[in-house]
Amino acid sequence: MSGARRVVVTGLGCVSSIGTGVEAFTAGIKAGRSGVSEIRSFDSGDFPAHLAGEVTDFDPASLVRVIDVDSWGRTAHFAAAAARLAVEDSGIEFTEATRATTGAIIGTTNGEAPSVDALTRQWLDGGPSTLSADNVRKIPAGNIAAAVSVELDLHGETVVIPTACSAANYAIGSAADKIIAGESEVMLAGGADSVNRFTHAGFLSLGAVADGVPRPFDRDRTGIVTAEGGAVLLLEELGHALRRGAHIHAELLGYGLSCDAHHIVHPDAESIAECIRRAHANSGIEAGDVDYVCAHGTGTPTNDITEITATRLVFGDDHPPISSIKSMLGHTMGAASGFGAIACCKAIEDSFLPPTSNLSTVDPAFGDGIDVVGSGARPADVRVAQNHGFAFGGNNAITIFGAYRDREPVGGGGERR
Amino acid sequence: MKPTEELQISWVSVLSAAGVGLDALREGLRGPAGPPAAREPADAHRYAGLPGRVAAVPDFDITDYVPRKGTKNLDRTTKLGLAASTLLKRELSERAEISDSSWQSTGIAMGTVVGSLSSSVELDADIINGKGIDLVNPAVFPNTTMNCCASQIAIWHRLRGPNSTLANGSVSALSALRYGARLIRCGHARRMLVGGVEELSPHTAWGIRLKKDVDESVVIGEGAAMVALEPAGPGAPPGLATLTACEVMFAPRRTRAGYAEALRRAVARALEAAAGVDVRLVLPGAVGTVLEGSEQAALEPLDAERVDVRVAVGECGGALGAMQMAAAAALGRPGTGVLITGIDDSGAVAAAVLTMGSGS
Repeated sequence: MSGARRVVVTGLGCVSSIGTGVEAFTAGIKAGRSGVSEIRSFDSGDFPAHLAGEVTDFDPASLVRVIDVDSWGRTAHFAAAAARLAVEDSGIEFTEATRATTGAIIGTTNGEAPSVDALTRQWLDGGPSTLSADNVRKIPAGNIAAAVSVELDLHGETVVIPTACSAANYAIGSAADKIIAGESEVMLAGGADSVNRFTHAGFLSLGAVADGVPRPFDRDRTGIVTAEGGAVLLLEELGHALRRGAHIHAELLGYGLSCDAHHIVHPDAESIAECIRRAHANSGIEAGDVDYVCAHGTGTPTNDITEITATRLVFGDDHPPISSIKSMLGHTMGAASGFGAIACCKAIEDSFLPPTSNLSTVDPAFGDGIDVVGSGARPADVRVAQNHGFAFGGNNAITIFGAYRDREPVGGGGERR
Repeated sequence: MKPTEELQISWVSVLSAAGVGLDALREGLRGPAGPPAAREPADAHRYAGLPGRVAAVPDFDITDYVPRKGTKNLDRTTKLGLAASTLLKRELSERAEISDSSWQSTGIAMGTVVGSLSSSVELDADIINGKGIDLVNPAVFPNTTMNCCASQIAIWHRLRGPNSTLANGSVSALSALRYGARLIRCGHARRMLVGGVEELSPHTAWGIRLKKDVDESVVIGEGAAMVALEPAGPGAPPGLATLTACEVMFAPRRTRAGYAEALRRAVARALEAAAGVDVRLVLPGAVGTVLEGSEQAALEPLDAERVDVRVAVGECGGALGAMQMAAAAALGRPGTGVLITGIDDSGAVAAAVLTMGSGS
C-alpha cells in the first residue's frame, strides 16, 4: 500500500562558509571556492593549528523571521536559518493540516558546544553558582531541531539525532521513512554544527587536524579542518509536491545504516561497504547505477584510504567518480552529510561533478581508476548520487539521491523495501 | 515495510537512584517520597553549596557488569548505559533462546539530553587551564560526542545493527522509542535496544538548580533504563508489553496553553491507537516541574491512577522516558494499558501507551 509513496527534495537551504542559500553554495562548489580561514571564534594562539571553516558573515537575525536569536545557541541559529531558506526555496505554503504532521529532524555532532565553552569559562572564573541560567537553557541538543519547528510553526515530530559526523544522513533517512510510512507529507531534515574550542583541540589531540588547508585524497593529506554551518532539506511526498506544482530538485531513493561495533575512532572498511550495500538495497538500485559518490572524505590519512577500500569492495574496478566537498568547506561535523546531500541534489539537477580542491597528487595507495574530480568541477550526467557520512563510534549512514523522472524511480521501480 | 507491524517490549533493565532492577524500582515507586538519603553520591563534596539534594545509583561500579579491561576512560553516561545494556542482554538471553546472529544485527536507540556534559566541560577546562592540548587525554575526547554511549554499547556487545542516539530533553527516551519502532517497521532493523541515560554530575545538577524549572524539593538523580523492542509473533521471546502507541509532537507556541494543546493532541492520538485497551495507569513526566500544569490540563479528562516516577528516581533528564517505561513494567497490571507522557521546555511532547502482557 505505502510502497507507492516516494520522497522528493523540493527545498534546499544552507548557511555555509562558501555561501548562504543554495544558489551561492552551489556556485561556490562549482568554483571550488575555499571557506577555510584563520579562526576568529576563539583564540587559537595556544594551538598548533589556526584554520577553520567558519561562517564569518553569519547574521542569523537577517535570515530568520520568528525565533528570538538571543534565546538560542549558534548551532540552533544555523539550523533555523537553513530551514527557513529551504522553505523559501521550496515555495511551500503550509496548511494547518500539513503543519500538524510536519516536523524537523536535525543531526549534530557537538550541539551547542560554543555555549558549553562559555559555561566552562564561567565555572572556572566564578564557580558553579555564577553560571548564566540563560546560557544553561541553550545547552540541550534537542533545541537545535526545536528552533526549526518554532521558526516554521511546525507541530509534528521534532528531534535531534546526535550521531556525530554522519548525523544529517540519519536525520534525512528517518524523515524520509516518516513520509514513506504515511506519518507526514512534508519534513525538514539536515544537520548543524558550530566551530568551537574543544572540538578543535580534541581532533588536534588525536593528531587528526591538517597542518594547513584540508587536502582529501591527496598523497600528502594530513587531516581535517573543523568547520561549521547548517544544511537542511525540505522533503516531500511526491504526490503532494506534484499537486502544488513544486520544483523537484531530486528524489531521495533511500538510505542505509551500519555500525562498525569495532572502535570508537577508527573506521572499518567492511562495515562501510555493508552500509553502501544496505543503502543500495533500500533504494532499489545496483552498484552500477551510481554515477557519483559524495565522499565522507575528511582528509585524514586513515579515513580516505578506508573509504576508498570500502567503495572498491562494492564497485570493484568500475568505480564511479568520488569527490570531497570537505576540501572546500572543511569538516562541518553533523552538518557534513547535509551539505553532501545538497551537493548531490545539485549535481543531479545541474549535471555536474563537484570537485575535490587542493589536490596535487592523488594518493597512489588508492590504486588505478579512482577519479576524485581533482581538476575542478566538470559537466556530467548524474542520475544517481551516493552521499557518505561516517562517524565516531562507527555510526555509518549513506543516503542515495536520484534524478526525478515522472514515471518510475531510477532504480527501475518495484518494491523499494 | 509493514507500517502496522505489532512490536513488543521483550524485557527491560533499569539502574536508578532507587537501585538496580525492577524490584528496587517498584519498591521506590510505592515507598515514601524520594530516594533514601543514603543514596548520596560517593563524591558528595563536589556538590557543596548546591541547593536541594542529589542521589546517585547506589554503589555503581561498571566492573560489576563488564570486565575491567577497557573501562578506564569511559565516562559515567557511557558506563550507566553500558551497564543497562549488559543487564538487558543477559536477562533477555536467560528468558529466551536468542541466536548470536540476531544479536549481531541488533541496533541501539539511546536517548540523552546532551551526552556526558561533564566530559565536555572537564575537557574544555583542561584545554583552558593547560593553554592548549598538553593536558588533553585523546582517549577521553570521544566521550564528549553525544553518540559515545550508544557506540560503546555496540562495541562491547558487538551489536552491528543501526546505532543511534536521540536528543529531545526529557522526552529523549520516548523519542528513541518512536525512532527505534520506525527503523524496525521500515526494514532497517529487527531488534532495537531502546532507552535513555543521564549521569549525575555537578555540572548538570547546578544547571538544573539554576534554571529552576524543576522544584527544589525534587531530588536530582541519574540512571539508565533500556527495553528490547522487536516484532511480536512466532519466534519472538515472551513479551513484557506491546508497544500500542508512541507519539512525539511539538508545541511551537511555548506557552502553558501551547504545551497543553500539543500534549493533548499527542495523548489523543496515542489513545486512539489504543482503542479497546483499558488504560488504568498514567505515568506523567512533568510532575514537580514548571510544566506540570500544562500536563495536568492535557490529562484532565483521563480517569486513571497516576504515579510520579521522580518520587523514586529523582530528576533524570534524558533517562526519564526510559524510567517511565521501566515503571510501567514494574507497576502495570497484565492486560491493562499504561499511558506515559512527557513535555520538554524545548516544545517537544510525547505520549506512549504500553499494553502489559502476562510476562510481567
